[in-house]
Amino acid sequence: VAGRLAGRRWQVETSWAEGLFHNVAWTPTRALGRAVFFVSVCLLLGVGLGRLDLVALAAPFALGAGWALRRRPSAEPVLDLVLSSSTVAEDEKVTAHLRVTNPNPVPVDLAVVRVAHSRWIDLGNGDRPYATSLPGSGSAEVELSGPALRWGLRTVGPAMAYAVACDGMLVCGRSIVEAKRVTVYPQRPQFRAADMVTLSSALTGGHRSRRPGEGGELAGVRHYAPGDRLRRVDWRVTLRTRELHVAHTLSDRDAEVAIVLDVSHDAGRSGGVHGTASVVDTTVRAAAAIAEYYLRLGDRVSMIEYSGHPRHLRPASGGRHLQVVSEWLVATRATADAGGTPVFGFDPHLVAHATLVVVLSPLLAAPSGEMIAELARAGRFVIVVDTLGTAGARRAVGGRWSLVAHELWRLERENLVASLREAGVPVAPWSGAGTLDQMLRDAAQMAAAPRVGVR
Amino acid sequence: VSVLSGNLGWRLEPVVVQYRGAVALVRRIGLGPLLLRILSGCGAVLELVASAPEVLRATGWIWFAVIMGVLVGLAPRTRLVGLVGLVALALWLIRTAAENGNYSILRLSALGVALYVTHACAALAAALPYDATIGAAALARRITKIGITAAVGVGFGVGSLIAARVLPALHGVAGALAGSTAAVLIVGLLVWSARRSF
Repeated sequence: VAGRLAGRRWQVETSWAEGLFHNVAWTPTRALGRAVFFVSVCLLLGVGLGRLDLVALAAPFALGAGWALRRRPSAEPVLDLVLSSSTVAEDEKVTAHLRVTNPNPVPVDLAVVRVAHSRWIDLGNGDRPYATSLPGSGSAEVELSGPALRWGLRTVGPAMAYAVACDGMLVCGRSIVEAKRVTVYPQRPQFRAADMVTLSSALTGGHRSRRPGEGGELAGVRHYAPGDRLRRVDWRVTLRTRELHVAHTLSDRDAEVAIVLDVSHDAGRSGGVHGTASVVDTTVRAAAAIAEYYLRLGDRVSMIEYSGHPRHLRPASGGRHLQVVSEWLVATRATADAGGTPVFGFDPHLVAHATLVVVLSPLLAAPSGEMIAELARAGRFVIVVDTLGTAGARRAVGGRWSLVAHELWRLERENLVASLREAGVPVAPWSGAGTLDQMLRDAAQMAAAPRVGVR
Repeated sequence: VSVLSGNLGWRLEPVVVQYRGAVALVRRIGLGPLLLRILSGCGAVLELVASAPEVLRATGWIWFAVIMGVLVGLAPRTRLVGLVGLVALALWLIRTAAENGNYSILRLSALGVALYVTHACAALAAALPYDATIGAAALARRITKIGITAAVGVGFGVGSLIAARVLPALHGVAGALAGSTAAVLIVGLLVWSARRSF
């Protein structure tokens, strides 16, 4: 009997050492073996030596074990994990309900519940095990809630529960619930841009284009010309000047904006929504803000991920596309996904000709600069938003050669930025609302300037 | 100076990480498991002290009891809990044998309570991870039950002992047979109960 009990105990104790134990039915713990052994020794010695005091010492063990074991549970507790929502935005609250149910009519001393979760979902003390008493045929619930700290596909779970009964002398195997997925959309910082997109295409949209045509935006008053519609005649000016004048308007057009996310490299440490932002954080949040702004204006927005495994989201407009963009952004990764050979190449023809290309790049490597130059050479209008942020200004830590290497890297990067500017590609650091304003104004001036043509 | 301080910080970083890890580990300790471990450790010290205080005082081995208590508190899942109980039992037998079987009821009661409290608190502490959060009501219920069981068990045992002293002794083989039968029955009942559904 002792051997068999010891065998079962070993099974449990070994698994304790591993942190968790495998699915086993209710099993005696070392405490039960200790109680039985102690009672046996005391009684046998007491009888053998004629010592009634040893019997008195054994009495609490015998009574305690006998009383505790008179009613024992047979089924394991059942665990359930329910999340308040499977999709949240950054800094929104996620609530996890861990409900453990006791199917036995016998109460259980303690049910220990534990849930693993992504470190980017701050469930307070969610990484701790929670112990609660469990009444017979009843249930107990542990509620954990906290904000989602960083965008991405996060998980809550798996959750695990086990129970202890009969004064800690029986323990049951763990009950495990699979992990639940939480999609955390990136926060979209406030963003505005000058209402002037250099290139526009179709005849719908909220932008005032540079091209005269049918529209609502007044550009001025001019003399009547054959072909002008009568309803365009400005009668007040005509009466004052005694010459026929018409209101001159600019057409309303939509534009296509392609946002290129250069996430071939990451830098900086992400501290979540309230902490420091890594390059990928800045890139994704900036992309979300820019995409939202232009989509709300009625433009068509496409997304391109420049990484070892590039992705492309076709251009579209509307509120539904904003949702698609948010879900597309959630899957952004700094490094290449597992499997497959990384492909660092970019076909400029993926972007339509009359498209404003916003490249969000930390400009950390030469291939990024080459990709931008290739786009510019292909005739696309490209503006670059530097997403390196404060990570680039951080002091290097390490030996003397580390400092030298850091200085060399910094100079190389400055050289790359200067080269891009010389090639006519404006570069500005991401600074939230108004980041693109100056670049778009410069671009508009450049586009309006006379061009040299060869016939 | 900045280069020097940078170098120093770089070299000290592993030490700082280790220190922060240790601090984080200590800060994770849950109050409930800590209380149960403290109770089991104190119980272990008390059972050793109550079993043979004169021996421990004379030999200067009182620190042994304290170390055993700390070890029991730190490792309630090991065989150490039972081992310390057996040591206490052995010390009790030796001391009472040296005093011709004389002992005070109070000391016997203290030893009985200490043995059971150590065992029961260690049983619960073994089932709880060290960083578990446990509700105050649930913890209070468990500790109260341990206290009641210890009081009732020791009261029953000591009461039976006093009753046996008052009752006329069964001399000869009859007494030994009656005692042995009762002991075997109790042990058999416990083993049967323990094996009932395994």
